[in-house]
Amino acid sequence: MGFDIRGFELEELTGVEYRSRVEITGRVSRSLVEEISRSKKEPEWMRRLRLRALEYFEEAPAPQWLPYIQRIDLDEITTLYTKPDVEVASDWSDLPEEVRRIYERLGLPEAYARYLAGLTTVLDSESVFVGVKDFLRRLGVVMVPMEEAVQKYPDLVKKYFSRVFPYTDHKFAALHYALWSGGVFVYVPRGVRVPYPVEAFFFLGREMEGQFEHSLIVADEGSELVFIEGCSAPRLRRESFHDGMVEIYAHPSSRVSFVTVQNWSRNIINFNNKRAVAEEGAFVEWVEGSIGSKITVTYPSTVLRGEGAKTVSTLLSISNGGYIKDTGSKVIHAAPRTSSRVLSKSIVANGGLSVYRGLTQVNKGAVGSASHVECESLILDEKSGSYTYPIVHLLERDADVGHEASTLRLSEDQVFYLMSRGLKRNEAVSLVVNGFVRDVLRKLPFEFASMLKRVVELEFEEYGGVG
Amino acid sequence: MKSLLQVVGDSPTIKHYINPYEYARLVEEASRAGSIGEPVVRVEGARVVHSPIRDEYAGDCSSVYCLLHKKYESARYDIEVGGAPGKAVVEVNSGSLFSAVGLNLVVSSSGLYVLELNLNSKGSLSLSLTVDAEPGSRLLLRVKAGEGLASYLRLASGLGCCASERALLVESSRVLKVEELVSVDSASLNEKAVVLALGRSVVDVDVLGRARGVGPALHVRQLLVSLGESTAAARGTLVAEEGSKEGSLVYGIEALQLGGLAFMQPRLEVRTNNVAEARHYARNVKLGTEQLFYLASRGLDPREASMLFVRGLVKEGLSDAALSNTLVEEVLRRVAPHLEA
Amino acid sequence: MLLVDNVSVEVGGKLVVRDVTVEVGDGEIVALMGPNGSGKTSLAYAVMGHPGYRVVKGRVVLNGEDITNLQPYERARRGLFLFFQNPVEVKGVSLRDLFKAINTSWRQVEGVDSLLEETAAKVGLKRELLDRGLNEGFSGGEKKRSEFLQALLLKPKCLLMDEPDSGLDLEGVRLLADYINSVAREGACVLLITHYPSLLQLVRPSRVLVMRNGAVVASGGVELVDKIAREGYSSVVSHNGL
Repeated sequence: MGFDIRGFELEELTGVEYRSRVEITGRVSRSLVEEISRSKKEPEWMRRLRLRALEYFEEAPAPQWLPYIQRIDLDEITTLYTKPDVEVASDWSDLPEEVRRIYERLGLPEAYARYLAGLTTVLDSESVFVGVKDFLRRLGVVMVPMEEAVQKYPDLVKKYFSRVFPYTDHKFAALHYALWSGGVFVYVPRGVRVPYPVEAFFFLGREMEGQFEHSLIVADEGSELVFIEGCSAPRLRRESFHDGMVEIYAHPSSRVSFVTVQNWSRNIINFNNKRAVAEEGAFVEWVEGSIGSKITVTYPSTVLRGEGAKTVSTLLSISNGGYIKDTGSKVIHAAPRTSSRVLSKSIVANGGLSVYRGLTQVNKGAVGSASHVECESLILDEKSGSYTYPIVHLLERDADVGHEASTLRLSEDQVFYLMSRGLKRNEAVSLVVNGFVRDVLRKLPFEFASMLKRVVELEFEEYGGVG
Repeated sequence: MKSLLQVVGDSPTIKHYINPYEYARLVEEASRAGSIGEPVVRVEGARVVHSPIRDEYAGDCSSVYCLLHKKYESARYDIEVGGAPGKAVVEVNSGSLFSAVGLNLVVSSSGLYVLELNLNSKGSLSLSLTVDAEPGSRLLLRVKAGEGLASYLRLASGLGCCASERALLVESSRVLKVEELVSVDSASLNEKAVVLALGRSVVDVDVLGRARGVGPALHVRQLLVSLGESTAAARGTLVAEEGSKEGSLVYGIEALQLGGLAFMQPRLEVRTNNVAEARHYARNVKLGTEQLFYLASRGLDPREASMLFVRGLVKEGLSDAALSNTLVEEVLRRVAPHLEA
Repeated sequence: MLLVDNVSVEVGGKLVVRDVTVEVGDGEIVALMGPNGSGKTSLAYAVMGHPGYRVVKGRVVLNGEDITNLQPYERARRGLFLFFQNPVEVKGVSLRDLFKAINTSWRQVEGVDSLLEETAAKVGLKRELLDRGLNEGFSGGEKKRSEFLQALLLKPKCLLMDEPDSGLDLEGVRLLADYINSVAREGACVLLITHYPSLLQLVRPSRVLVMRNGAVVASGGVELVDKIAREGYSSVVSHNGL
């Protein structure tokens, strides 16, 4: 009367529809990976890392936790990989329509718009560009494309590369490591405080992005850096799956802020792996604004490994239309007196969906730790939805942990009030939405905040709302 | 819109919860050993009648635990409670390694009713309890599971009208998986659950609540108390269905760690913008040094101060005084010996 | 009678009160003044027995009994009462719950429910605050009134009052002053920590001590109050009463 447990694939949780695993077709050949390594003139250890990761990728079972993706075609991915220019836009007119429209309506001069769209790497002021690069060099800050770093600073890179986010963490991390290309390496020496935010795209342009870019930021003791990932909008024409990664290592007493504002085209599935390790007294800040892409899956995470380390995550996601933002933050308190704060805001409309997935874990021994997570979602119409899935794991009782979240609908009272002051309905909605995101905008460097604010306004200007 | 919960099996954090495959193995072993039996159910203070085993199960029955229950349920009973004396005790005993029984509880009293469910067998018990309560009823369901093999309790109920309040007290010294399914259709349910995990137990309470219709309210507040070396876990999902209007969802979990571990996942799925309120929280609670000092400066010793504090934690969320007082008494009686300075 | 005998207090390894001696007899009101951070609250906390405030030298004697090593609740049961400057919030535990517990535990209070309501009315505390968590969302003035209510119900023999008047309106200050004067008349000892001139016009202490940097730097009679009000602390600090 027994049964075979091995055939038992079903959920242990009730009420959840059984979900099939992602179908992965095609393959990534060993020779392709070897060729990639060879063309980048990589040292032996990197080549071996890629191959080990590929092996892991092949052995690991396909995940069930990517509910939006039914099928991934590796052949397609690798074709794109090997022949990027065929698919990459090189002209303003090649840009996806909605991207062009946004920039046009932002009223930006075409030169600036082209820069932001990643079509050119620098603005007209060459001297400014050279000047800032010089300044960083004099401070001793290393900021070079990742491939260049592997060649020029092998020991430094080897010390940190893949230590924050091992390829064994999940199948797509492994795929990432097998195929990684592009991204930036930043090293800030001991005690060096970089006084203004560094916008990577400004210096590295196309190098910054790609399907599998890998960025590694190392802040040595007592250093400070604000790093902006840039507002790039990859110009790929076909639907594609992006599997990027950011590793941050914050040495004792260092401070790193990593700011991403993403407004990618609607044919991209943006899967991002972001993680930081914070040592004693270090501070890591994640600021993420996700507006574009078809599906975004990203959970900036921090491991608070040293006593007194702190992390703050500020996330904003907007799904205006049938898009999905599956975001959140993970924090592991692994040392005493560590603290974390997460603020996440999402707005959904026109069939959009936002999912917040967060983890707050306080390990045994992390006494005196404190964590506060706050999530708010604004749902503008009945076609849209918001899900929040927080996880709180308390393995230590001497801690102060709280997570709270609420989902709001558009307050008709507020809209009516604003309309009674002469605003049209869509202008009123836009203003309400802006008020909702204010806390998040405060965290961004000025030009991003104002741009994001404008983008939000534009997104919702045409939004009629209910009734 | 469908649920987008991650499959727990894939998650690296799964090790903190009860492993369904281990439970399934336990049942399979019992089956191989020929030790799957029919439990003996004894009831005091209510009418009990054998009932045919029906195939439909209220609510979702897709988890490993429920499917195993469905396969091995050997008996079902209808239990009617109502009127005096206001309390009934149900004892479930079994000599086998595994047994499964279903209970349909019909509460026709509109007053306060306390139902005590004692799982006495040392073997694994799988119990499916359906609750059909009269609107306006106030039910305190107290489940006691002594030491024994991993067991399962399924609690299903649905409300089609009116407002109800109920309290749930789960006390376990064994590994216990609790699944609670509740749906409200243009009705409201206010529930307070206190989970006491004792000794080395692991108590994992999973709630799936659905709100539909007009003005549905589903308020679930849980207090986890993990004593000794136990683990208390509370997770679940409250859903405001598409098409529901003016729903109100509140899902709050508080953890009082008195030696053990606590895991919380209060999830919300809001599938429409037409909600009046949808919020959740998860936090740990403890009597801090300053608060202890404040109460001490009023003459209360640490134990008295802790009792007062726990009383406040238990009372929170319940509006019915009789229900809340009864729940408080029951909890304090159980927790008092463990509250030390 | 309360005797703080040459007491030094350490918090987190740092000395915050140094060699302080204060004696408050039955029926006496002693005012303790000084700028912020001078150690007044630390002294009050140490006398009440806060675990974070270690008495590293000297002793505290209440009515002839050395209470230096007693737990705070033991000191409270012996008639000592601390009127907190900034009472902490205790969620889920209301004034009503607190007094029911006190009633069961160590001090019988006749008709506690109605007494609570009468006293709330007397001190001007809104009735619904009796059932809310202690100090939860209370305004500054409401917190003081709640402390006041508790003192009225517990009838302590020795009061440590840490700025009981801040946040109260004139009416509240008057009520408080009447109370302080009447309990002193009935024989209680009062150690009153305060800044504000208005209270000290209504409650005339028999002695005034001024603290600075953890030590008593001046002492004298009630005339010190007026001098400080007119000329500030610096005018009395050179007046080394120790």
